[in-house]
Amino acid sequence: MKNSIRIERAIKDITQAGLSEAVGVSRQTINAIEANKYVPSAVLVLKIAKYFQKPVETIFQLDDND
Amino acid sequence: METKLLFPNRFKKLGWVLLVPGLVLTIVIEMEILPYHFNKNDTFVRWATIKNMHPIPFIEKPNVNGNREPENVINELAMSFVAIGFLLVAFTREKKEDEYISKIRSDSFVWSFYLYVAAIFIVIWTSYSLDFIFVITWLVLLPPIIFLLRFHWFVYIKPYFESSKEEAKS
Repeated sequence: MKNSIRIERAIKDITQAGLSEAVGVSRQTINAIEANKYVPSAVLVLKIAKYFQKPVETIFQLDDND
Repeated sequence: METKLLFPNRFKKLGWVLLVPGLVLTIVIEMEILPYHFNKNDTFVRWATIKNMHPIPFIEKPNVNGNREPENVINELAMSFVAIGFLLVAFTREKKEDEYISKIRSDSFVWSFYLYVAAIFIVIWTSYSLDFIFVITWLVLLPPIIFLLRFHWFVYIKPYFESSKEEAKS
């Protein structure tokens, strides 16, 4: 699964730490998701989408390997 | 994965306080790096040797003449510290315990088990008789150490390097 959190963060001008605070996870988690090293749970995906006020599909897309 | 089977965060420090000295002592004593220092009538050893507690049988051990003599319990203490310390460090909630950290935790357990089995396999084919038993004793410490190294590498050390790299970029 790929994602555009880094871009969304740039648009909203928020740091990894700020986003992690907002959705209630550790900074390492956001970092790992952005680096495509960790696939977040459905709950966390929904929280992040809710924070950016965008549909889930615009931020998270299926990868060719999925 | 939200597991409830973890200790609160405040136990982590206590865990380190037990684990680190315990591990150092265990290695020093068991490897007999300082054999005379730790086996003779050193003050520290005398303190740790519970001489007057004869009713407790497990603190005594038979000597060469078949008489019972007080056992130096310092290595037992050290290894107990290691066991309890490891339990507390490994099974304590991080300050921000979330799904990613839980995943690292369970992955680290799987890794430590794989490497443990690999190490056992190597030892089986490379050492014999008393050497085998000696090495197998040391393998007791292997899974906790692998777990702790891997867990803290992924939770703290690697992100730290990555974030300092990112700061350098911007």
